[in-house]
Amino acid sequence: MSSSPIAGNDSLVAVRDLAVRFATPAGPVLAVDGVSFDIMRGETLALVGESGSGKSTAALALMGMAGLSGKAAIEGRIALRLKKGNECDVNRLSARDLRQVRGNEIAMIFQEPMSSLNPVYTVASQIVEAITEHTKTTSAAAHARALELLHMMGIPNPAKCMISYPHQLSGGMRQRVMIAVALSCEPSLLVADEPTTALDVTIQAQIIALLKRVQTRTGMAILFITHNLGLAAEIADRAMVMYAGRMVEQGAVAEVFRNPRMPYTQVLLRSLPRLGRPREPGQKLEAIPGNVPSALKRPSGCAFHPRCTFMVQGQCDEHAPVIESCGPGHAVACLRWREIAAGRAA
Amino acid sequence: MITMIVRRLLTALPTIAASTALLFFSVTVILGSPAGMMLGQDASPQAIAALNEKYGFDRPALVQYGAWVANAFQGDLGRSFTTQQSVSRAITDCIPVTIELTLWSILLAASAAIVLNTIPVFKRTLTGATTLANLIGITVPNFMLGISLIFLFSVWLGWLPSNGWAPWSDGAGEHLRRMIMPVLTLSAYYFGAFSIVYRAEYRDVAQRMFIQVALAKGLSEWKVAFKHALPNAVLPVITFVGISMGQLTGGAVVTETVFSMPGTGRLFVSAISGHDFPVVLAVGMLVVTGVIVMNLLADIAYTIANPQIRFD
Amino acid sequence: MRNLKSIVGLTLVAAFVVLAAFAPALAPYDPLRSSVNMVDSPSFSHWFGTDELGRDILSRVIYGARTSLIIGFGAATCAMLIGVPIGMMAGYLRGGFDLVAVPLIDLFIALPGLVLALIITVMVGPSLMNLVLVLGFVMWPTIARLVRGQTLAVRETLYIEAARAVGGTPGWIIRRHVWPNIMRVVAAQFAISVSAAIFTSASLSFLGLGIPPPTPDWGGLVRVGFDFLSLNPLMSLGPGAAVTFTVMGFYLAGSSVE
Repeated sequence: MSSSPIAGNDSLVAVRDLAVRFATPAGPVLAVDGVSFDIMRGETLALVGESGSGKSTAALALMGMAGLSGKAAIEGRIALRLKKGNECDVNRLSARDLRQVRGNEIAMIFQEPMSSLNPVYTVASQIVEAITEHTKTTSAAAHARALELLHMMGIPNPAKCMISYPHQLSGGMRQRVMIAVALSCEPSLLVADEPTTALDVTIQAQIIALLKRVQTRTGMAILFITHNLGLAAEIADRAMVMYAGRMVEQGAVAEVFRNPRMPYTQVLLRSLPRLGRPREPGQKLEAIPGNVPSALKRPSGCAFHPRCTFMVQGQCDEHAPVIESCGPGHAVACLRWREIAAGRAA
Repeated sequence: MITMIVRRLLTALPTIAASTALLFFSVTVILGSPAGMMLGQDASPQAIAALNEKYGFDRPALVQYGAWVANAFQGDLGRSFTTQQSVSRAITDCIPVTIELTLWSILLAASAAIVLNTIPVFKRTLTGATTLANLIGITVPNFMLGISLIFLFSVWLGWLPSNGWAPWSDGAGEHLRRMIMPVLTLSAYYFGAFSIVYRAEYRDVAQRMFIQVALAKGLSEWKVAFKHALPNAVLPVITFVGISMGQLTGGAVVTETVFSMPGTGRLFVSAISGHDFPVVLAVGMLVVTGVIVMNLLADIAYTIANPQIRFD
Repeated sequence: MRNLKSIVGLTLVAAFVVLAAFAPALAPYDPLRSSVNMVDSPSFSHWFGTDELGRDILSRVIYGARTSLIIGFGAATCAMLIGVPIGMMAGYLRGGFDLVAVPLIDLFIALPGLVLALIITVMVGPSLMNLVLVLGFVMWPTIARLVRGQTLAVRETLYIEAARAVGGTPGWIIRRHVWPNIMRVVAAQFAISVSAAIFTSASLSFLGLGIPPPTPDWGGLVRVGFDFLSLNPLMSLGPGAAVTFTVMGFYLAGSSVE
């Protein structure tokens, strides 16, 4: 039990049995329920799920920030290998040590580039602030580094951008600045929470390309949170699908997309329009029946059963599935995955 | 930004002219003759007519207003009816007291409101107490607060002198010691009003994404609160300072009376009860102009402080 | 929190309304009858002591509730009668009327209410009626601004558009659709205006421009009692507390509505 889940392997982060419970006026909400996963050094893990699936909360928990917006009880273990080589459990760090992790070991970019930057400070001061918080350096050196970062982000006129205020920049530019802020202390993990959702499609592609380029240069790992499976396929090495606070399937991206085992993943993939695979006449894009369950009234058994076409009464609505291996590096949480895979399920 | 400030200045001037004219006509024409006010209700028509002629109250109102403003620009605000002293002289003697009292009060109120609603530890533990303090600040009348303070600190505990004022020449210590209770009294309303506006603004700002970003950078809770949340939450409060200037003036009048401070407010009250028309008019015009100018300054300060306007 | 606010507020309001309505039954003495026991300390026969003419202070405070509430309700009503129509017309009709009304409202709001009230009161002379009118005149712009904002918001809604589409006249739409929608907010503002009127009128009387004696009036009682602070603190703090709790009560009752 006490042996570290990341000792002796190449994991950067190992999350075990993470649970986040919020106390809300309407009652306790289990936003994340017993999730375990690893992030390897330098890899990109996509965390896929609909809004309300707990993916953002799980990601925030990695930085000890899940409880900021309310009273939260966080259980489980979040082992993190630090840059210096030793490791820690993020969930048991003091507030002071947590601040050393944030920005320095793990950095984060958010969905809304419009509101991610403080409107009263210049771009320069917001990058410099991140640098000086974690490294002992002169103001001039920090400015030079900030300029270099903006250059690296492919910003056309970095010197002008430095002295700009956020409202003077476009959405794409702001997200580039945010990435520069995140990268300023060379973190070993970048958590990207839907970083392109609020952007135009063309800008979206630029940002994704930028993230990939930066990753090859710095070798950092990326936890990419998205509801967009196409994007996940494009950027990630591995994918993990969450539903109603639980992990339902995880594996290498190619494997998960080619052989999805969980009915939820299957239906998610079928609801995706694909380029280069024209629809046959009369074939429709599939929509998932029903709605995402409310976090307050989570269905019994497998949380997906009310929307699942393979649901069997007395089974799926009573027994919660355990996570089973269904292939090399591929895991699924479904009671009937074997029958479904063999085509025997109706 | 410059054009914006110029535009504000240009709209302020007609406002000042219009409101002072309105005040002037109200007191001279609409509400009855100043001579009647000065001589009391039982004055004989002859006495009123004589006084009207002496002070020129029988001229058309517009001429009187023009003459008053022209004289005012030369520093001549007339002579007090009761003391025969120069009104401008009386006002210049009084005004530093009022300005000092007002500035200390705004300073104390604003800083207390900001500190109590920004410091993370205070915010968590003192929310209830702050809410109560806000309520007390905006509902307890200045005179009640002032008298309560005098009762507590002067009559009962004997810590502070009850007569509120000593000139700087008596020594800074003595001056400031006598300033404590008046400033506390006048700042209470302001503290409550600021605190309510600022707290609502702060809660709004705390929900914004850049606060999470700042925490994700690894900044301490204090730094996030003071460096990132405060400047954004304080911006609307700046305009509020201007808007509530009128309220503050009224509070200053009462506070100066309670603590017998030789300020403009007390000058005004004694002029009112002595039916001293030239003084009432001069102080009234001054206050109206001052309030509009303060509003203007607050607006300009907001423009300069807010980069989203400054660079547009 | 909101609940607590309204409970405390309404309780205070009810208490003072009862005090005012049943003053003759509740007051232990005639508030105007003087006696030889001048400036007595509080005792069992005189809970708040007696004033400089030997009158019972508690009785005077209880009767003072009448003056304060009359001024408060009267001035608030006056302010509503001016402010609500102007605000609704400015907000609903927009156009030229709005262009004139808004700067006027802003100007009046910026001006110092107490100073204005002092000047007007000394010109027209202090009497109950005049105080009500003066305070109503000083307070109407706040109400007009609020009503205008509310009307603007309602004006943009679909059902107003529908009412216009079926050919409703502005007067009819304002009566049938706008007014019912902003009534709650106006009612809340009425309570807050009562509180503001009592606050300002007490300040006026404290400065010596209130109801002329011998009518008991809280601000005036404080003014006289202040001179005897060390002899009998309740002579000023008693009526002062009455003002404070009344102002607080109406404010809480009004601000707990949202």
